Amino acid sequence: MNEPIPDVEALITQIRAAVREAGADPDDPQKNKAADPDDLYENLRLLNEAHLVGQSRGRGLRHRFGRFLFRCLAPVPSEINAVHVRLVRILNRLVMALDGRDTITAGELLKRTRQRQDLMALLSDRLAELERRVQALEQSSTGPCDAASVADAPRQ
Amino acid sequence: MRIAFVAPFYGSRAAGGAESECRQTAERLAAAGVKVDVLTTCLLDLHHDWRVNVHSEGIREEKGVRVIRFRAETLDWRPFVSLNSRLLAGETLSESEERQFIALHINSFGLYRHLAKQASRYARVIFIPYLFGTTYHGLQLCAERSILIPCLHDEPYARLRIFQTLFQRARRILYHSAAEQRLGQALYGPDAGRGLLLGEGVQTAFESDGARFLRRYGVEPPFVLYVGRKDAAKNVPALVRDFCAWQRTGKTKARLVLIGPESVTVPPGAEKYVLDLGFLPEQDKKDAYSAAAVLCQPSMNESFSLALMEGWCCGRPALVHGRCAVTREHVVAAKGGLYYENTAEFGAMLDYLFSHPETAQAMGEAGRCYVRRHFDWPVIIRRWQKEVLSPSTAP
Repeated sequence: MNEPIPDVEALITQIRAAVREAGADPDDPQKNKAADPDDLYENLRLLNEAHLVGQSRGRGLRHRFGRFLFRCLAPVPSEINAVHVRLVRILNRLVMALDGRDTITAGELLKRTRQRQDLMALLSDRLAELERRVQALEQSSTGPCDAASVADAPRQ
Repeated sequence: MRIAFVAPFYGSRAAGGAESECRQTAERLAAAGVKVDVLTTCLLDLHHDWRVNVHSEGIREEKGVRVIRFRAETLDWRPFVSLNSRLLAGETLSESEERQFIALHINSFGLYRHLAKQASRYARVIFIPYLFGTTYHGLQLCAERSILIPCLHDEPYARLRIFQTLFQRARRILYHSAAEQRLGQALYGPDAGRGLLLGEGVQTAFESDGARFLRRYGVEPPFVLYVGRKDAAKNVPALVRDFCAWQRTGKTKARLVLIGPESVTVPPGAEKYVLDLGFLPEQDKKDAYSAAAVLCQPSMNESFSLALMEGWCCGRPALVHGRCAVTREHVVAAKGGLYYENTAEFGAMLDYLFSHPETAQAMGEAGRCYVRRHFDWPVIIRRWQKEVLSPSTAP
């Protein structure tokens, strides 16, 4: 059990090597940052950083006044924040599901999609079957069966 | 004596069982006179973006605990997503890929440098839970004084070979339940002299008022209560399906009340007896336990189940899933309820509990005694002091 304790810098180098091996750049976390303003991940990251109102950390007069104002209005921002926190959690979860990181939600979504597909396939089979039966009926009938003859048929 | 907890997330805003256990244990040990540091990252919790350091770096005193926060590494996680997906799909990763997986997980080089410099100042360094870079890499830097609280579930991550090394290096391993310890031994080999079945602390004495809950939320009794995250990992969609099937039998009229984060799809027509109240304040949740007829824990992935214990603290009988060894063993040991394994059994067990109110009440009381005897905070803190922190138990 008395194993040598690894040197911390050696350990960090080892972690960085594994990260590099996985195809990421450990030295420049911003390198992969997309310039696209609609980039889903970048927007989600910014949303995670800034979804709480009244949380400005600035020291200037404007920031201090802002914080004072939010304290005075305490119940309102806290209700807004409660909604924001829920929205951000849901969005995080959805993106995780899209990425396959949240396999539970992704699994549920896939299951529901599969159920819908199965239902559609079932309906399509039933329609095809009905069509076949109608065609068979038409072929087996002795006389013509057009709209006019149906309309003239006696009703009970 | 100064000890340190190492956790990826810490604070009152960090949701999750391990996070709550770490905070409660640290605060209560500090209140009992132990000097406690928590070494953690600036991340918020498991459900927030891991690339966003929400808290500020530095040292803060929080309820008698010195919390030292370090920035988490903000690495590109796209390769992590790919490895994670393959792992969860049941694929076996190569050893090199396993190392990449944990290198891309939550790591903090600042935290590791602190541990390398300061670990000798701590009598014990406690890592919680197993599945994080902070635990895997941090433990390597001070294995000789390490204690691991794994919070282990039977999940694909637990089968990674790197964790075999982690469990073998840890000088002590604190388990929440006998079933969790058996899983650890089965996966990582014997832990003789290192493994300790300690359990988890529960606050057993709290005020709760069932009538207040019924008034405030307009819920009609009787109802079956579920408290926790409402997702498939906790088997909640199956609970809703089983409950609807039971209600369709028409033998006993009851409602299912769900409390906790996330949401679950309620089948059309079942809205009248399935009430999803969402995330409630702590006091309202406790009031709900008192108002409930039965506390149901359908999850098959528990290493302890705090909700089960809290339900028992209010004297409520429990219905748990029989395929979760942890909760089933609690129920059997406590004689505090019943377990089921399928829809038919689910209905039959509830029919029994509703038609035998005296037995149900006795089960609830037995559960209450079980929690007080084994998991009351003073009991757990005494065990920490005697069996984990006393000089004779030095790793």
